[in-house]
Amino acid sequence: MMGEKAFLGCLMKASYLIQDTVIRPQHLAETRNREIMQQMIEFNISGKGNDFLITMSFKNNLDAFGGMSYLNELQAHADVEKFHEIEKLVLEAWKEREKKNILTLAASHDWEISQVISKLDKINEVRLEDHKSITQALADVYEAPWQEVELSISATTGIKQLDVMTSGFQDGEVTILAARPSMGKTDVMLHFAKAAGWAGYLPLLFSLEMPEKSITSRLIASTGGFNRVKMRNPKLLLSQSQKDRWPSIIGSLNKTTIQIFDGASQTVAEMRAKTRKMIHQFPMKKPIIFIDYLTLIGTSHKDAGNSHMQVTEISKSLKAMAKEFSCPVVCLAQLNRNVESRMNKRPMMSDIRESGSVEQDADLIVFLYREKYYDQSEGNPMLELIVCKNRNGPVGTVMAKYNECTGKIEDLPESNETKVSS
Amino acid sequence: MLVKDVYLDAVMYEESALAHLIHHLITERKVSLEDSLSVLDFERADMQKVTEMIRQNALGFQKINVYSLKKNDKTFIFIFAASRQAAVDYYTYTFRQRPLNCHELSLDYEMSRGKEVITFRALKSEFEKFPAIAGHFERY
Repeated sequence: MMGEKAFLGCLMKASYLIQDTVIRPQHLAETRNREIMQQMIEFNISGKGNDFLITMSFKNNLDAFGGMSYLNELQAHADVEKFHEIEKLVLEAWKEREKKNILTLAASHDWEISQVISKLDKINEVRLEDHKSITQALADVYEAPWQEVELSISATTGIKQLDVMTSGFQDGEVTILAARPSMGKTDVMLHFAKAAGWAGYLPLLFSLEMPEKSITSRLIASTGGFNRVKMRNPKLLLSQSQKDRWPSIIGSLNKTTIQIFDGASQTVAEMRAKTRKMIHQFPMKKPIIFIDYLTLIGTSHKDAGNSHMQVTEISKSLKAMAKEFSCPVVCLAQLNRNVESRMNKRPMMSDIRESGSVEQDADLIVFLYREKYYDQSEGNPMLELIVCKNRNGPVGTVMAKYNECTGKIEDLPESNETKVSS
Repeated sequence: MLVKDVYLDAVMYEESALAHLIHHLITERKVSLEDSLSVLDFERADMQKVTEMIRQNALGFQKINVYSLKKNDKTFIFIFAASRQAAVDYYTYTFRQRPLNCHELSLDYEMSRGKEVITFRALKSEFEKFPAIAGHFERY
């Protein structure tokens, strides 16, 4: 309660603060404080020159605001210098109240877990620290022309040419990796995850499609260069030399600290919660989130809304998640069958299922394409990574070598294979 | 000095009579906030209306005073309360004895607390509920 008094006192003393604050009247606990803040907002909008206290004294229903003594008292609590801290306290108190409210409601109405999580997450979205004045922003870059550039560490993609084009996965950006089924999406994703893990990131793998067992076996196969068929029965099928390498492969894979979550139909809210938990568990590491794949992500309203609306909601919340945790999010997506009917079967942006919102929200869209997929007779092991949207860089095509049997992806050794188009 | 300043001061120091009087003059348009103090003429006020306003406490003042209550020869207790009677009652309830005497003090009385100088007015803002004990003083 003291916090609210101090908060209102500050607003009274320095009326400009009312435009800065994220706190709205409904965030306050006491009714009269809400009323007073509402009056302040109206007073501020009307731009009357007089003192707020004087204006208030001519109101009819002074009792509702606690009388002049109370208003006067508020001013005594003001401490404009500490406004930021006071604001935080008030907001924390509000969150705490809301939390209790939600949990009580959830218990009495027997809510679904996902609903509880998403409601709780909503409280957290009221944030204080998303404001930066242009003066501050400019001051930060003022010395840029004279300063040595600190190389920004970003999650490497593990494919050199792709790194050149995108400078790795950037914080707060959503990457969509789309391809036709069995083109190698999951393998490419696992390759990204391994590379990021070895680079010191914390890869969080939300595998909605495949169980943890197959992910692990794929990881081992691609890292060790084992044929995936042999992974079904390693004891029987692996050669002695392969068995000798087994422990070291396990060891190096373990260094990636990949975290696998293989629950089916996880919602973005659940992923957030799990990510937050992991961030606490590995405070020194920055997370990078991989999701396999987009349309399998569960939504809050299951029966309402068509699939287009659902994808819109998902892609929005993915972007929100990337921004909130300031980490890269890589999400796989399926392509629709339009690709197959074309002569040139290289995918385009509109081929992504329910593409509209995905095209907008993604910062980077990469398609996978293999000649061999359509023409088995060709022995071409090339995998084309077609970057067709890149918010902060060029688009083009990157070539990599893909081994279908092991799922291993490698850089091409010689010559520049990148075709940059813009 | 403008009428506005006096009015604000009256509100701030919770001088009920003066504040209501000026409030009345302004609502009756006999004086404006921006007028100089010299224009302020209390004779023009309708005293009956003002008295009524004060009685009803139209501006909603809940003035809290500070009282010094003598416990014994050496000890004095300071209590924030709305009235002398409330202070004495609170004292009796808390200490199970009647105070030897009870005097109102000025809220702007300054005393030292630790390294700072503080007034009862500032001290008052640390309390949420009244009556409350502000502190005590021992004479050596």
